[in-house]
Amino acid sequence: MSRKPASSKRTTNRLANRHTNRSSNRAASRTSSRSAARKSSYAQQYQELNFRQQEYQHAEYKQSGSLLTTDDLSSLQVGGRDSEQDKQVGPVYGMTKTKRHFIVASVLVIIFLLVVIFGGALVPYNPYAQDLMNARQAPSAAHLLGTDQFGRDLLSRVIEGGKFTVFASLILVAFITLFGGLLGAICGWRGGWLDTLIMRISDVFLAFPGMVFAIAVAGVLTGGLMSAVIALACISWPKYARLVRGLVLSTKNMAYVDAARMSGKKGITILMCDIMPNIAGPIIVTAAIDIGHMIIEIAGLSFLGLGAQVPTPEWGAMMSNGRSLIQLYPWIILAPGTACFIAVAVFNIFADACRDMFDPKIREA
Amino acid sequence: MGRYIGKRLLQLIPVLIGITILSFALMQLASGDVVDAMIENSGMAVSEEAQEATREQLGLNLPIWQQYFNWLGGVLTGDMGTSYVSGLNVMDSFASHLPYTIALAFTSIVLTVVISFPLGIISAVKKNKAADYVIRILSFIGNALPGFFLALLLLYVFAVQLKWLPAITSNGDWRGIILPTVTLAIAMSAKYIRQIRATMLDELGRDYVNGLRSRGIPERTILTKSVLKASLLTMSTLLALSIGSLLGGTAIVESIFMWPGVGKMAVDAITMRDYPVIQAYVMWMAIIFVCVNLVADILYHKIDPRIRLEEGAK
Repeated sequence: MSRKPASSKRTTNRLANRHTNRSSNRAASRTSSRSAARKSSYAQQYQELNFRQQEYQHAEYKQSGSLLTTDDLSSLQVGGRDSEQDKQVGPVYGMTKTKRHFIVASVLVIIFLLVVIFGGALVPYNPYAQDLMNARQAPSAAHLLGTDQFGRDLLSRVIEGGKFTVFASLILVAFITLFGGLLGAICGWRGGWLDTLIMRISDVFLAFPGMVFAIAVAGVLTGGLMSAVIALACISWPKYARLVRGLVLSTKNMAYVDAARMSGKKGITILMCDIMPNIAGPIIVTAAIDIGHMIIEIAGLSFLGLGAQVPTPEWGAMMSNGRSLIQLYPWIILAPGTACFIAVAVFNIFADACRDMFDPKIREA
Repeated sequence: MGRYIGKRLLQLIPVLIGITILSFALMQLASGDVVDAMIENSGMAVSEEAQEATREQLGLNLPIWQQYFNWLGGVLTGDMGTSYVSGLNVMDSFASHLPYTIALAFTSIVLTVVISFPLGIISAVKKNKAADYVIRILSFIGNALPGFFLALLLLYVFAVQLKWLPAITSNGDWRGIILPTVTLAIAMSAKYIRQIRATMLDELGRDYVNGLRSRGIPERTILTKSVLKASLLTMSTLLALSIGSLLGGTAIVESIFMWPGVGKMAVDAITMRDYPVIQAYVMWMAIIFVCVNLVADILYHKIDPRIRLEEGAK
């Protein structure tokens, strides 16, 4: 965690006084009560922060398996894989390897998104137009990826399909990050009964293993792609609520927050302007990791017939429709499957780069 | 230790109650009630009076909380209603499908361990060498491949092209489990290799390893006697925690390979709007998951002295 804001605002009188109080307050430093912690010195606060953070990670880790995916867990525990890469400064422009990776990954994502958005205008065929004379054609010069059982051009459909799968995933991740994050921030900031209530509710949602609940919700709602998105939002918001709550808890007693409070800022302003920028890193990383996951899960639900319905060229639905034809016309499956793979790969590369770039939990050892 | 277990069991109670509430509430989201679904499934025209009478009989006119308690009473006595489609007792059919899912989960975990432990360890030991890069690329590909696409690819290659294995499970043919197992294991291993590598690297970077090296102890001995021993525990815990995603993830694979587990049962039930079956699936999977996690936690707590010391220190 950054200590910079704390040191830059040290001039305030009350804060300065604390240094003299150091020894007398040592006993109070371990108590979790907010007022006691506020009186403690910088060193103790920092200690307490570390302590809390460990406690938070530990508690998170112990309480529920699905809370953070085990993948995130190892990055929490181990402190970001390949963190030693950060220390290798590249030869050109003094840019770190991490930063170069991040830029390359971002460019990749932007290119991918441009293809998805504008590709529809460039493709040679209407993705919905059926042409039964040309059904089930193998890939050729006229149809680069072949045609499906209704003679629709697969290249056009796959590119058009990106709009559904990828954007559904992006909207979903944006929504759960905002919604879960907001709840978590309120919980962490306010504490009290509201915190307990929301955390108990999130416990229950986390008790349902992965897709099980999503399958049931999507199955019951029967509202196409939208219901798949709602179903996945149901199971994934608690992860963000937990994450943000823990981060807010670990920062809200830091000196810079006190300084902001003394300067007369209101609670919500402190939360948004002072705390949020300092805890954004892990949230961005978690969200980035989730984009790829969500693409797979949305496509998976559609594959089961619980998401996008015909004739939407959603990738999972396309594969589901072509499933029975796999023996003789494998390209009907291969085209959307590969598109899905590429999309997930691009976003996973981006997530890895994001983690190296933004995750502050770099090991000190 | 006893206190710890007691505390965890107490914490479990509100979660279990929450699970039943959510499972019950889920069915209230459905459009139309039980009677509508029955009519839809039977395909007959039923008079308004008869519908009302059935509702009365099933207690659907009661206030919602009363319906919940009636339902909960049924659940506690092992009665979750009957399937609209088959007319069978839901609990019985769930119990008859469950062994298949457990068998599949078990074989996939074994295969995951067999694949990912050696690869993860090699990848960490040979860090930034060719072997490491190859393993990391493979794991990256495995991570980005959607499970159902992988399943279809395997199906195409091994069942359609090579004809080595049956494409769908027929009764009593043990080979039917191979492809679903491989599909699940590849997806899990891909994630798991990364975690093992990270755990190993973390352990290898510790001071005691440097200490051992400086005393001239051969690398192989350090690895087998100290590092592996220390990191195996973390690895096993991570594996235990991934059982949940495995239980949830089997549904797609089961329905592709026609493996008669609970996941396929649930997916079929959804297409038929057979709500009691879906309800049983959701609730029991959650309960199983919570219990598995609890056991894993307690075992971890019992085995690893570091965790106990840490808690004692607080």
